Amino acid sequence: MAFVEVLLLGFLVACALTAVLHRSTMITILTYMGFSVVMSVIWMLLQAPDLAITEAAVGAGVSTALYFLTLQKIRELKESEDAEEERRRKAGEEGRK
Amino acid sequence: MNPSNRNRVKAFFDWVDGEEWCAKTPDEVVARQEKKPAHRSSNDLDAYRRFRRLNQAVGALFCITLAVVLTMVVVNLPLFGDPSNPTNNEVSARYIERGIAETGSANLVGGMILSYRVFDTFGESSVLFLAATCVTILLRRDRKNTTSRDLRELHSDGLADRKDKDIVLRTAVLLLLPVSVMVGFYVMLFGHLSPGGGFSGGSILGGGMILYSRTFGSDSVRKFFNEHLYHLVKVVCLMCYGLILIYYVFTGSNGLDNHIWLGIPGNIISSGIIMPINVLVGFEVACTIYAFYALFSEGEM
Amino acid sequence: MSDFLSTLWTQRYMFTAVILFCIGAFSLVFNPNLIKKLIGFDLMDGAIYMMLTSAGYIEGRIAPIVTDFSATPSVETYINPIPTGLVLTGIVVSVSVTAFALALVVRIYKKYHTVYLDVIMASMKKGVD
Repeated sequence: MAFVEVLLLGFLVACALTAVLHRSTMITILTYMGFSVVMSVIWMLLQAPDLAITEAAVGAGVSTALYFLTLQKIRELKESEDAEEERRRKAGEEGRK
Repeated sequence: MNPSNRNRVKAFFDWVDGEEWCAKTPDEVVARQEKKPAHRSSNDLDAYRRFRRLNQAVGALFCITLAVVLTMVVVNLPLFGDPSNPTNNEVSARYIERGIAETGSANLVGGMILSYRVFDTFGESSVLFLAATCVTILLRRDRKNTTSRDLRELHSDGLADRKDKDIVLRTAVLLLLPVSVMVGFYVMLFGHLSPGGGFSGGSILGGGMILYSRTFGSDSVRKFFNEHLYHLVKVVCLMCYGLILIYYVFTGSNGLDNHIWLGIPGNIISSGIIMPINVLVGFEVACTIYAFYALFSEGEM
Repeated sequence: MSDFLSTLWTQRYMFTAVILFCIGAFSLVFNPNLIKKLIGFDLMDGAIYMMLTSAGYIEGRIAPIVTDFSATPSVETYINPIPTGLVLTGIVVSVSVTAFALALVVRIYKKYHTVYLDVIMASMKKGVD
């Protein structure tokens, strides 16, 4: 039992460190999702089943989905602007030819 | 209304909508909005980047100091799992011993947050309502603030009517979704007999709706859940909860009799007003969570 | 020293909460990326919830769901239910704040085309509108 607790708590700290120190935002959000799932298991170990259900539904489900949607909106706008510049550049080159 | 008042009213509404409200021609306004920030000040960026290493080293040192100080505090706090903690006093003893007789609910935590501490739960529902309203203000697209460029972006990436053509995903969702919705309703309705309650059940329902919308396109959800229904459910649920709370607090606090029939504990129709409150809160949370998803992905419901 | 270590082992949940709080605080204050700041905020929230729930746990007792309706529930069988109720409210407030903060990040991106705070501050100083 102590071994399981040490494993889970160590995984939590490792997830948190990875989320904070990694360069890529997508890896951060995925490790944050793992952090939420392990927190849900720890709530069960601390005899709080209400919290386990709520954390699993809200933390690992809805909150991470919102982060991914934000990431998509941010990258998307960036991509479409770059795509527009590419198009303009190509149109300018073809016009000059 | 003379013309200057009308201009002021129009200026006020433009300010609320976030548009330029001082006197400018429409061309100037559009040109200013469409202009991309060309170059940024490189001096400030270089100065910041020169000090970034030092900044992060000082930050790490600060956090390690904070961790050491807090650990010293933690070692001196009451021990974990000790029955003689100061937190286990007569309040929790009262909630455990007389909880099921006074609230009728077998789930002591659910009964506690919906009858002894019902104000806190109402504040939480209000915070959820407020967050949904603020996200609507920030992200909602309507005719006035959607340029043709936004529409082009949405349609080119297929985000406006997102549909997944993957057969594996569609079959899996068709099998999984009825089970998920049923579990959501179960957790919501049985909040007074087993772990869960309004918030958990509503989150599961909202998650199911998000899954359906992502796989089969948002038009499929719009068939049974459009914007009018969303506003109706959100406002009616919170108002009913507020009225129940007013009745309960004015007759149930200070030991007055509130005449709500508690029933036999263990039955589904028991524990008085807790089951209706769970249903109301669950529907509000489901609507709010789907609204978050819809506003983030498309800007409208 | 061994006394200190054994107390630290007994208080393992609170100690982990302290470490997570400090990691979250570091990310919130010293990372220029706005999304990483919000992740740090959520880590701090999770740490506080773990500290509160571990304050309510009592060794050898079970979760507060009454299954035997014949006898009056005794205090000796259930853990303290109050911190669980507080944390339930906290989790919902945390997701509301996260959603609102992410909506703000999306609007900031639309205006400044970046999510790095140092670039945003430099743009603001330059007077880009």
